[in-house]
Amino acid sequence: MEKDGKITNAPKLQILLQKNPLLFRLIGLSPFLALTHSLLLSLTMGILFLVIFCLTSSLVSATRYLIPPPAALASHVVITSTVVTVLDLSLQAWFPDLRTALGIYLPIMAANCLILDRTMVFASQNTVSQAFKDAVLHSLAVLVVLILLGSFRELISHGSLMKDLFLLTNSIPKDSGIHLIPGTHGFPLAKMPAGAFLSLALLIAAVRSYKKTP
Amino acid sequence: MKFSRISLVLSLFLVLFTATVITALFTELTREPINQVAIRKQEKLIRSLISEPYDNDLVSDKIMVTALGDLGTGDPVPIYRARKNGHPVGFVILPVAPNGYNGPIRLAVGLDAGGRILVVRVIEDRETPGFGDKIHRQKSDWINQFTGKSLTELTAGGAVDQISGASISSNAVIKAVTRVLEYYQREKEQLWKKMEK
Repeated sequence: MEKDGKITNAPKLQILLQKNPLLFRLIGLSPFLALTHSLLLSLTMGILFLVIFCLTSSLVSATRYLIPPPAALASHVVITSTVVTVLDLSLQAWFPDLRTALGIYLPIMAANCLILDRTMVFASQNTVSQAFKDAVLHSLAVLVVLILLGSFRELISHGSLMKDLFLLTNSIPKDSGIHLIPGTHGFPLAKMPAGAFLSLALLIAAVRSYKKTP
Repeated sequence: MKFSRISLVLSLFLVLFTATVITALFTELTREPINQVAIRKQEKLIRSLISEPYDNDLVSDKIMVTALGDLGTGDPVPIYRARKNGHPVGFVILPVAPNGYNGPIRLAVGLDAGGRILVVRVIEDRETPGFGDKIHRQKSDWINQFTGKSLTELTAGGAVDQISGASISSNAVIKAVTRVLEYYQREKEQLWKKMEK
């Protein structure tokens, strides 16, 4: 784990570009990559991650004087999984179709190492507002990457954006969403797991080459 | 810094206790909506199993029967009856295949009034992903082979193939469906007459 307690002093753009947890540290990838085959699911995952991360970080920071360091890891996992369970139950009750589409990747967030890393390294040593700000910045960085990957993969594999909007409520017809390239069957590689890694690699390459040329 | 064992245990207990209380609260809060979702899903599935036209409310024309040897479970099993102008059209029954690879497989079988299979679907199972889960319509076309088969065709053998690599799962489903057909053949008079108490 990295040893920096000063990341709040870094400019916001730095977390987005040079320290983006998905593009440079490459940790906690699986739930994000697995769901980026559609823009709607990417967005959902990004927003859920934001909620989970902010709640967990604030709670960990608020209880930091209560929990001695040897018990930190255990209690952070418990706090994260409680937050995830609460969200999971709410989705099951009020957005059942969306919850089914998320599959195992929502519960798996309870053990996401990106969240654990930030709670252990940062939130447990800083004030609630600092921890909250840090969580917001990191999840926004993740959200941007998810939106980029989601639109790229859905566009390549289906020629559409937000095609599964009907998962939200029953009142939306099945073929809604924007069909940018009508009448195409698309390129299926983009929606397969290999396509997730390839798309991420392309994005990383693009961002790194942009960084090199000033 | 040193921490006494007591403070360690106390803090962990506190965290776990609060987490348990919150989780329990939310489970209670969402129990009713989640049940409603499950009921709606099951009703939708039951309606999709009868492909013949019918004019009664299929989901409310329901009886509960208990037949351990025939339906694979000692619990009461719901049976839904479809009618047109009061005449029997079709029949949905939710049997259990008790001998799946990883435990019981819950099925839904739609029959027409003559005892021919309309549709078979898997409601719930724990079969091995990649092997036994081929009994799902989403994974392979296997389960559609039942459509249109009658009891004589099924008992003669060869009407529905086994799945290679998943012979236990597929045989469990074939046997359960065959037992349902036998049960229907034997009991159909009573099943159509029986009224919900």
